[in-house]
Amino acid sequence: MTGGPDEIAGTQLPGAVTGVTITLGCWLIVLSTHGDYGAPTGFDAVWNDRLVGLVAVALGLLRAVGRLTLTVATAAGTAVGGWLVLAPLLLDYGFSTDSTLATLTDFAIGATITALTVAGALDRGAGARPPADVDVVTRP
Amino acid sequence: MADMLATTMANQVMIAREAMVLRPRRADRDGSTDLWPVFGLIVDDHDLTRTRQGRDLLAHLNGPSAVTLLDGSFVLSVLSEDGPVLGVTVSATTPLALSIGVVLPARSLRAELGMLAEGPTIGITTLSRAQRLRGGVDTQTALSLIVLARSEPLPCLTSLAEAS
Repeated sequence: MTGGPDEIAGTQLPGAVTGVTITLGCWLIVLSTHGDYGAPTGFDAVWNDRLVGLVAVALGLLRAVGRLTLTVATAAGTAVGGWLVLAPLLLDYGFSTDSTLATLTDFAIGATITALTVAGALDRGAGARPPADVDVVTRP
Repeated sequence: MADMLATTMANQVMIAREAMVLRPRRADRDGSTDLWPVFGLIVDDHDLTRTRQGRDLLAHLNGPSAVTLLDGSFVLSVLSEDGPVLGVTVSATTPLALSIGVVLPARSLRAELGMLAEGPTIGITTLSRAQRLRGGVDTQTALSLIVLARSEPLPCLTSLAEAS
């Protein structure tokens, strides 16, 4: 029925997606508070990272308590990660030396969250499925 | 006749669309081999929507995956030896209150009559849930897609199996 003591118990990827999403969300919040974004220009990089960080933490916590379906969690995670990748292009990050940290951080965190979310969804969809060990014969 | 009466006195009587037999591919490692084989009755989703108990069963089957062992029993009976046609009365109190009769045309189940005579674990599920079982599944999925209960042996099925 279940694996023996010498077998690894299932995949760890879903938990990793949740943990990394929360960690990176926290990192964004901390960075937006203490990081060097150059001269602030209204509602741009700093507040974007702060809000997206909060959304990422909330998303991770909702994943952790199992309040989201895989479809919703994947869509939300991809949207958050995709927005972080696009944000430096759509918002006024300044594209100067001062904004390099924010730009690179957003790209990196956005790409990581997107990739992990998609990988987690693919893993739950196929790879995590245990092998069939029950034969089912149907009679009309 | 008494068995037929019991079947027809159930809250709802429906016809099983298909039946299935679930068997583990290898010997059970934790020793709970008396569970197998599991004989499954497959009923139409729409048939279950006609009564409150049927809807409760449908909601349970469509809910979060969990193995459900009814506090009750499946009682087999032979409604007609011509065919044969079997009747299964489901009587349970928890976790679901159920009183359902299922009529099972068993012409294609002659090879399984001996197993049914011994009182196997019987389960009930719907056509939509049974789709996920086809072709073989893992044990947890198999047992979570079907509501299970023990059944009593029905020795007369043995002679019916030998005669057919």
